[in-house]
Amino acid sequence: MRDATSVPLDVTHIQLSQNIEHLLLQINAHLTYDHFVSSVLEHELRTPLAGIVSTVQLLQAQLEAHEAELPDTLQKWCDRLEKLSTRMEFLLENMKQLHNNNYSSASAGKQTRKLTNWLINERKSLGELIKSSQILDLKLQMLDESFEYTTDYHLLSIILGTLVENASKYSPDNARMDILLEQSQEILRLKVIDNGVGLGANSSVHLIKAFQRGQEVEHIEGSGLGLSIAHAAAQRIQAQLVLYDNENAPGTTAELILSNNDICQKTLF
Amino acid sequence: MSKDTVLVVEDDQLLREVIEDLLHIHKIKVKTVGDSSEANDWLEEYIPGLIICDLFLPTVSGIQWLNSVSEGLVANKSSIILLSADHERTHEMLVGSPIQSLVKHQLKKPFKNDELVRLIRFFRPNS
Repeated sequence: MRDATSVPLDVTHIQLSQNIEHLLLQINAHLTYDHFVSSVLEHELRTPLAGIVSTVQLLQAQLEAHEAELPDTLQKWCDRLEKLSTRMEFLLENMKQLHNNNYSSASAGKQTRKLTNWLINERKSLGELIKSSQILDLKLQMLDESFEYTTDYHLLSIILGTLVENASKYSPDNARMDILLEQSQEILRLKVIDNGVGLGANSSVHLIKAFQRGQEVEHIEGSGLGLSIAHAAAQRIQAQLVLYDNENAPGTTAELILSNNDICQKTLF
Repeated sequence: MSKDTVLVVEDDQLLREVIEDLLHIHKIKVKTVGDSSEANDWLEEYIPGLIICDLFLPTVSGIQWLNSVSEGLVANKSSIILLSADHERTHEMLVGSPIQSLVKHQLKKPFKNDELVRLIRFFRPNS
């Protein structure tokens, strides 16, 4: 003889299964739709960007063909458009990468590499993100130069690129910037140090919030979205990103704090 | 207007105009249209040797439209260059489609003008 309570329990169990199945289908549909919307958005943003880039190229080619001397102002505007386009494309790539990363498992993009080798190699491409008159130096303060670190290097690359680009944007022409990698027993610090305008007295150390800007940099183009991307990417790799004014010198330091995973493991086990 | 004319299907008017200007400068015959319906009208009378098609058109995807007119394109061995942002996704959409063999290149926006011209010269017949 069946327990009086077992019938409704069975029914509830079936209903619950059906509800969960329905919920999973809905979640899947939402994720698929979200992915689709992002793809379309990226494509739609790339279209006007392509128009700008091609127009600048056309203008430059026409002027060269006619050996016309470009007035300084016009040349400056062309250069600016070119830089803005490069920046937009860089942001689009980063947004896409972050989006793709959100849909993959936490370990999907992880690799184990020699951190110093990666950074030396990365330094070569960072020159494109700074003004031609600026200098970017790399300094290594490692306990072990052959230290191997496991992380998502693509995201790390996005963060470093964004910080360098940001430092360049807020620094004057001919300025010098440093990338410094420091290793201690438990912490790795990747710093981008500039001697630009600084964060300003009213800015918090945790400046990173979409579209939030330091008061002293409002005259410079850009939305601050780059730092938000860097912040989101840092969260994805379990790192912390902080910005602070340099002590006894003008400028800002952007510091990415990474856990020294190998050493942490040795300490714990 | 025939095989040596490049058909550009791009819904963004400004980009369409830029491409048109670029190809005129390089003395490449071009017909630009903004959607699949306009493209279909043109295809009723002419056969392009090369089509440059945006992946997203107003009512259908570029690949859907190209598949719908694939019979004529395959018969005439037309070549296709796709303007797309996501090569991986585009490749997935292309696999097994009637126009797969006609798609010679996927060009990511924004592109270098020189690269577009070089691709056109390479894939356009009689050039």
